[in-house]
Amino acid sequence: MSNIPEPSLTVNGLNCYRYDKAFFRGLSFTAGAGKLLQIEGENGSGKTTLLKVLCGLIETDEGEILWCGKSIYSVIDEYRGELHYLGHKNGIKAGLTCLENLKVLSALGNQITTNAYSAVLRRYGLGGYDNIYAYTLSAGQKRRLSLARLAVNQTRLWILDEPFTSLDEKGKNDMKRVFQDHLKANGIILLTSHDNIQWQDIDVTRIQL
Amino acid sequence: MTRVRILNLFSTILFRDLLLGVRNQSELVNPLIFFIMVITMFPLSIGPEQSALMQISPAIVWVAAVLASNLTIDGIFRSDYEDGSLEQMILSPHSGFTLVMAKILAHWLLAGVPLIIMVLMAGPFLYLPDYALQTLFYTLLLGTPVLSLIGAIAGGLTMGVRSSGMLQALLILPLIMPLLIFSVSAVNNAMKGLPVTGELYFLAAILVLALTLAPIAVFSALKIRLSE
Amino acid sequence: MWKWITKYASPMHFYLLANRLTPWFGWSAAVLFAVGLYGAFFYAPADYQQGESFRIIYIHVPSAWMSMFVYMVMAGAGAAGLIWKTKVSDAVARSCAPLGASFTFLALATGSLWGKPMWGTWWVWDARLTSELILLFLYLGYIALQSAIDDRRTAARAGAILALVGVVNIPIIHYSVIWWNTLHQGPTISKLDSPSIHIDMLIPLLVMALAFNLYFAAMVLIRARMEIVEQEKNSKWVQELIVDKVSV
Repeated sequence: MSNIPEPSLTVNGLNCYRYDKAFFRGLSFTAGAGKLLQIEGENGSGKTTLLKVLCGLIETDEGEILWCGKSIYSVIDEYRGELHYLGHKNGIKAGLTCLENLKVLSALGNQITTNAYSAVLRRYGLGGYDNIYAYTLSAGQKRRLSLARLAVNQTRLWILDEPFTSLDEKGKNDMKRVFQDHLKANGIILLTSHDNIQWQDIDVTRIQL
Repeated sequence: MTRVRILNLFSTILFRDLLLGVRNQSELVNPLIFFIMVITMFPLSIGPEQSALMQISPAIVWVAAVLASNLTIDGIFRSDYEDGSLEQMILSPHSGFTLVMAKILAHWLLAGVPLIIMVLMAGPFLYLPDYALQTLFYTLLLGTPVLSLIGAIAGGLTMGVRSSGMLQALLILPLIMPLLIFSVSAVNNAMKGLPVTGELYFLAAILVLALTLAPIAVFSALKIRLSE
Repeated sequence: MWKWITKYASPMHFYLLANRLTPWFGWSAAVLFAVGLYGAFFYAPADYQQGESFRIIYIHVPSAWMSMFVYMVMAGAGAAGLIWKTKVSDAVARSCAPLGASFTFLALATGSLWGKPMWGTWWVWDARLTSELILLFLYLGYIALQSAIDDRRTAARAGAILALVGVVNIPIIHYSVIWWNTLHQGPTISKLDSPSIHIDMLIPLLVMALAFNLYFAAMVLIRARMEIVEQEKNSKWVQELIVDKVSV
């Protein structure tokens, strides 16, 4: 693992138009190893769009996005193997149990970190829910389940759209610990949140749209 | 290593969709009931005479099968689109071709295969002789995967759109006219005791073409619609 | 050459070019229509079998040709939009659909008008009319898809996929319909294509075909211009353009 370069995500002069409207112009920033970036902006300022552009769902109009110095489009498969994206939608199937959901999500990723799905569920506050259908879960529990995939595949870049939606205080604190571990392991986190994140031991870089 | 991962992904998605399909029985069964109802309407409207029914029964069966399979297309991507799992699948580092093929195969197993069985059971109702029924089976075997493949293109293009079911029918039906022509003509020939290999070869050729090109179109359609 | 192409792939330059070309295409189409129709009615002799009613081919045949051609243009522009992501080709593809659908409809309507005196019915399930009808369905599906998707760019790209799928399918549909037709009727009526058309009949037909092409070019440029202004309405050059128009 030592020959793998330090992760870095660089954005240069990014412009984006959606529905004939300019969202952001000339956006530039760099996220290095161990950094947490919070993207701030009003409703409709293009936070979600930016995250989708960053994970390659939406192609850029102008500007470049570099992963470890290479355009993400030229290394798209490797890039996606390094990436966890969590959108507004949880990406879990109501008709599957928690365990089945986690298994499917892990098959989509590259490096499976653990097969101990029950332990992962426990860690994310869903202990004992292994064989419970996802449609019976509350909104917060569904969010936890979709966050639990962060632990199943090993990736270095996390792009999270409002990860704390419907989470209670305990859930947020659990996530804080997960984030800390990820940053310590030289990971990168980009997130949007309506909460102003103030954590003593985590350094948050803010980007205003 | 990658081959193992891709196979694993293929079987996981296939198994996932089959599981969801089996658990959601109404969606599995309703198109079949619809199919039988459409079939029933013909004797009631034309009259029960054997000769009249026999003459148009291949057409009835195929049109009913096309309509019934159209009803199942909306389910192929819509729920995955709505709950965000499609986004996760598209963002997977593995080949999109694998994903799309797994989903289409699952759709065929859940919608096409039961329909074939249903048609074979409906055959005697329409006084189809055995040889014609056998040919009908072959045409369905070659034709229903094409319905799933072309249906998946329409399903991918229209997911999350207002009244997507109607739109899918508009997109699919003109594209599958050749299928209808060759299939019904094969069964008609069989009823007259004529050879049917020509038509079956045409159907096989259409299936091969759809198998090669449709997944590319489906994957591009999904990518385009998810970039909204 | 490449520089020239990329220049006109930019919406503004395309708009200005289209602005200049439209009157040329439009007026030459009008002149050729006049010439072609005169030729069709007065120059071409009446057909010895079909009498005067054959003259409808001067509308029917060019619109049938155009219906196919426009679909190819639409799919080609769509493919260019998918590959090079040029906004202009998206606009052109979208502009083609209603025009192509109209040509197809015209071909069907004139075919049906021609059929009444010839066959005694308004509609015959003849191979050409049937595949023309399916082509109309393809156009209508494209238009329905366009209007169902809100985002203009997504709609254009989704439409391009559909058009390309259609292009692969059109030959299959066409030949399967011909095959179906011969199967059910035998090679009876080979409608509207007399094996050797008289030269006096042919000239007006070619003039009309050219007129249809020029008319299509003019219309597609007008429509594409409107599409471009609409899609670029927030850009500087469109704002300036509007201000100029208003202040004049």
